[in-house]
Amino acid sequence: MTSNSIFIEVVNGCVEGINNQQRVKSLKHFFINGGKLFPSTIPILNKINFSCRNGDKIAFIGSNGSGKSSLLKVIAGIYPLKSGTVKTSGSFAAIIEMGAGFDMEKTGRDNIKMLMIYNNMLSKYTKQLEQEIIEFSELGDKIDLPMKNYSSGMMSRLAFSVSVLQDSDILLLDEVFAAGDSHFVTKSTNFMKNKMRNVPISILVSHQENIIKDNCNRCILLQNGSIIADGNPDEILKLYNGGEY
Amino acid sequence: MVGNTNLIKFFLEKKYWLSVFLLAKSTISNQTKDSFLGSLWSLFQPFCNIMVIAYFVGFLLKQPKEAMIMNLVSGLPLWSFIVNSLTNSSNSLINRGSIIKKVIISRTIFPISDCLAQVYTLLYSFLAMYTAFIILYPEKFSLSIVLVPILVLPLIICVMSSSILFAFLTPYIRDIPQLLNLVFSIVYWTIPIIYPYSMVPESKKILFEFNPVFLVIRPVQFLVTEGSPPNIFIIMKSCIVAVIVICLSYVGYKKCSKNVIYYI
Repeated sequence: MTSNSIFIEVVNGCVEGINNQQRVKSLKHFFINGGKLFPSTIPILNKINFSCRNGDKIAFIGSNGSGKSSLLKVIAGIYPLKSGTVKTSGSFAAIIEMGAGFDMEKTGRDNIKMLMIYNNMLSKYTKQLEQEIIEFSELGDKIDLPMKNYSSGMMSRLAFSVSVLQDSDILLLDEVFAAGDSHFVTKSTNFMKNKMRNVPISILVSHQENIIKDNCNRCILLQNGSIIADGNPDEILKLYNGGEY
Repeated sequence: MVGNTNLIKFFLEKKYWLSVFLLAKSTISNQTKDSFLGSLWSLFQPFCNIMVIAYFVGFLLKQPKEAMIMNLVSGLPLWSFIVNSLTNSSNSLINRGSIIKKVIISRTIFPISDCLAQVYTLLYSFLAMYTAFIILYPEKFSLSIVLVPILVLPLIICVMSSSILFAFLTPYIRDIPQLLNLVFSIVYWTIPIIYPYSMVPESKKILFEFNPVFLVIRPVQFLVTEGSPPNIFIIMKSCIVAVIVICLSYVGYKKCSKNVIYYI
């Protein structure tokens, strides 16, 4: 695939979730509290128009609940649109939450395979890649211990190492920079920065200004499920921090 | 988009089936993890069941006990496979909600892998029960038993496809697992498992011809109880049921799959 043919385009994208508070949970809830069999929907994203091409390093910013992660999940194909269209071209690596799917009873080595299933990269699994992951995580012999014996830092190291060693055209990251002790945080941050530079398109959800300024050339501000500003990271961060929107 | 991508496209990918196989293997190994006998429990328990039942049936029932035991050997593992597969897979997506909402993966992998784990249990329990039966009645051994893996295929296909349907339906209707249990407790008596098919009056046999569960387990039951392969009509009926279940499950899946993520 040529780098020019890699793109993301969302046109009039709307996403609606269901109102779980209204959803009937029992007969009592149905008859006494007025729970509904068919709960109403709640808007998550409203008429999103967004596109990006090769070379775009984008940061999604906004307050909690503004729709940043939801938009990332729409792009990744995890959330379907209620209306509108999303077109993408290029292979994806979506790191929404590191370590989603760890089996605590299994060893770190077994969990590498499990995470590769969940990251859709099982076809790339080789013993050599497994060794690269183990070396990057610096877990050494502990890789053959059950995960239930790992500290949270060790889990983060393994999760990060599996997640970032994915090769793709489009990299989607949701608050996934910090992992492990300070030495590993520095190493992983540098690795991630390098990776973001080398992939054709990267999209990052973050609240960390320094990471956004260092790694992104475009910033998108979301509020209540709508894009309200799109431009240079310095300008958009100034707007966001000033609260003038 | 993953949620809308053609199911058939996934089914043709080697990567898809490798993922299913690894998840099923993980489920199986977790079932008996760290136990001393490990997977031998899958053999030991059904073997003992048949031995104990054979002992009690011997003096409790007046009819020949071979017929009763043969019927159990041919029906019980298949019935347990249906019940366990559908009950487990109806919660496949809900139990893995935290993963499904965060990764790009075909969601059908989960019910299918849960079902595949039960296929393993089916094979082991059938093997153990048949071995116990042959130890008790060596004269009943027939080489045609090697046909079981082929004859059981329509049943496995039926259960796998309906497990996808129930996995995608349960997030919308959370009572599905309880409803399934109720239906199973009724259907259990409508198929010849604890009573031989030969005991059913001729006038009532027509009712069994409309029971899809009976039709899909019938080829294996016939093979074990009669000691010879079933005729082509029995096999065709089970294949027709499998095709109908696949079509119905696919329609249900298409209706439920798009927005299922919001209901998990």
